Order: sequence, then structure tokens, then C-alpha cells
Amino acid sequence: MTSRLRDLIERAVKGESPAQKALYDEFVGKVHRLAVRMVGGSDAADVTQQTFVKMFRGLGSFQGSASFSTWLYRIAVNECLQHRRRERRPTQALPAELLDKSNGSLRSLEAADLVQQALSKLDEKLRAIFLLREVEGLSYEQIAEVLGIPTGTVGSQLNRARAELRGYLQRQMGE
Amino acid sequence: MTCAECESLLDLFADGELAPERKQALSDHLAGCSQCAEKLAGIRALGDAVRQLPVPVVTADLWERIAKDLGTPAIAGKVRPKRTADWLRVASVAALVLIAVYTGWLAFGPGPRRNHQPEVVDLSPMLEKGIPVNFNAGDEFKFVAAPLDQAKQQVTFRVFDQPQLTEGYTAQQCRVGCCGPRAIVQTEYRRDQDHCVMFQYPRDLPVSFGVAATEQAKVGNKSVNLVQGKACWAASWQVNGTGITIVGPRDRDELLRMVAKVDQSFERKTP
Repeated sequence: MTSRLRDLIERAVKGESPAQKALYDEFVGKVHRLAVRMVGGSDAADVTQQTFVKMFRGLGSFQGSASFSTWLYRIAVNECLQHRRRERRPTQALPAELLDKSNGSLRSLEAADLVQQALSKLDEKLRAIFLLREVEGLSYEQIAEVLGIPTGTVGSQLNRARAELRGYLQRQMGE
Repeated sequence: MTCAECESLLDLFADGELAPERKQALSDHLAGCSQCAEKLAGIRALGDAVRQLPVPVVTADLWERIAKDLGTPAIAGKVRPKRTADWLRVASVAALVLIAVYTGWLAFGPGPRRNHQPEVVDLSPMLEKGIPVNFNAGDEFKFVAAPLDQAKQQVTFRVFDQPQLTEGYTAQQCRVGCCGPRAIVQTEYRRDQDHCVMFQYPRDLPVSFGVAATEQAKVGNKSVNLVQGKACWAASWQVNGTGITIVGPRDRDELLRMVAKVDQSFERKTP
């Protein structure tokens, strides 16, 4: 952990709003990106909001044994999973109008939509593992720490997630 | 290396998790096998496709919503005024915030929750006055009685399930508050007139002890949050997938011995 981050955390625990805002600014992109992939674009802001509220409320108990981002990811994933259970509805695929049309042909927009659909079909825990690895760049050990599962399980679950994603995409593209 | 061996290692290779000695063997195989090389390319292409998915911009008012939930000024630069409540009250409420969160959840159910604030139930009397002889949190929390050996079957996290705690403390009753990964197990231990209550819950539930209200203690290599009330002590810590809070002992050292016993029990268990 950098001294700057440690300082921000200490000040945020004391309730200093500028430090809280700085922590938010530094990590909101990661949390929001994960939330969009996990619960869909329409609910991602709510999940991100709840994640940061819980993070700040629990910041006093953060002991620094894990990295701060790993700890925050743990809260975020848990919030995504809870959100899904509360809402009891499948992840909404990103609406086409939210896709970046500035540099994408219709073909690429369709491809992006297909990938998002494939993700939304994936079991939510498999999806979390896949996203933490492929998008957030966490190591197996960090993912195991976030999800509270053995490191060996991360590898086997990643393999399964990729196989299911590939299978879905192949079926869709074969139609 | 055969293609089957290669395929079983491709994910590890793509993720940079393969041991160096096997990495070289796999690289050699990939250099001469177009089929396996194609499969590796497929794994990488999948990751590339997901990384390239666009993400909607974070709404401009999100920080304001968070700051409002936290009760802090939305405009960065102002420092939240110090609370006037005495530290003990703040500590005792915060120490049991996990109970408050669960109570809110149990009482109102998992409904829509935009800007939802969990109801805070002030359990500071437990720290300020001790646990009453006729302690019964069942009505308050809507818990359901369950023997210790059955309680652990109803939750997804590991549970300390021994009937004996330390120095004569014996489990009297155990209750489980609702279900699955959001459950909480509450066990009351008694020794003559002395009571303590242990709460066990998923570790990912953030537990706040406020700012100046807690003391960090080391039990073995484990860091434990301690709170001293007028009547008793409380300790909270995490072990593997479980968060644990014990409230009730009047003696700090006795509480730390409880923590050590519970923690060692968890460490001995295989996941």
C-alpha cells in the first residue's frame, strides 16, 4: 500500500470529506465497471453507491492485511450478488444506445451486445471470477481472497466460465 | 507434452499463473502445434472482447448520493464536525452495527433498496449494563432456535460449534437469523451468572467500530478489534470466511482467551 493511500484511508476514517472524495475518485471507475458487468448498466450506479457507503462505514475495521483494492472488490462483489438476489431478475444486457458508436460499425456493436449477453447468461459467481481476472487483472490468489475460496478453485472456475462463454457465443454465431 | 496436457494448462498459461518450468514446456509445444495455439488465441480473444465492452459514464451526482448516505458534506473540503456523543456510546453502537444491519434486513425483508439506510438498533445497553439474566434476543431479532450442530448446516460460512467456550462458559442456546449466505448465528454462553453472546456471520459484512472507539489487540498473529463498555467488553475479528463478535465478558484477558480458543478452532479445521 502506498503512503498516499494509507494517508487517505486514515483521514477518511476520521471523517475527512476531502479524503473520502479522493478515495472515491480513485476507485469509483473500477467498482462501477465491475458493477456494470455484474448487474447491468441500469443498476450499476445503485450498486456502486451501496459499495462505497459500506466501504466507508467499514473503513475503521480495514486492517491492512489484504490490499485495499482487494477488500473493496470483496465488498463490491458481495453487493452485486446481494443486489441480484434482492431484485431476482437477470442481468440486463447493455442497451445498444449505451455502446460507443463513435468508432464502431454495426458489426462491432452486434459483437459487443453478444458478448454482454453471454456474460449475463453466466452464473453470477463464475462471472465475478471471470471479470476479476480478465477485466480487473487480479491474480488467482487475489481472486481467492476476494471471494473467500481456495486458489485452486479459481483456476477450475475460470476454465468453466470460459468454456461456457465460448459455448454460448459459438451457439449464437452458428445460428 | 501432449495436446491434452497442453489444453489442461492453457488457462493457467494465459493468466500468467503457470510455474516457470512448465511454462517453457508449454511454450515449446505451442510453437509446434497450431491447434493448441489457436485455443490459446481463443482464450485471449475472449478476454479482449470483454475488456473492450463499453462502460457507461459514472453519473455526476453519484458522489453526492454517497456523501448524503454517509451524512458528510458533499462538497469536498469540509471536515465533518466531531460528534458530541461520548465515545462509549458511539463505540457500542458501531461495534454492533452488524447486528443492526441484519436486524434491518430481517425486519423489513430484502425489498427494493435505493438509498436504503439499515435501521440501527441501539444495543449499547449490552455493553453498558451487561447482558441481562433473562437475555433473549429471539424476539428482537426474529431468530429461530437451532442446536449448534444444526445451525452450522444452515449457513454457508464456517461456525464455531463447540458447546464449551472457556473457563466454564457453556452454550445455553443457539439461534439462526435467516438464511444462506446472509445468515447470522447467535450463541449464548453462560457461566453461573456470567453471560456472553457470540455472533457469527459472513466475513464480507463490513463492521465499523468508528474512529477512536476501538482498540486493536493481537491474538497470535490475528488482529482483533476490542471495545470496552461500562459493564463488559466486546471483540470482533475475522477468520477465514467468518466474521465473529463476542460481547459480554467483564475481563479483557478472559475475552482474549475466548478469541484465541475460537480462532484456533477455526484454524485447525480444514476448509
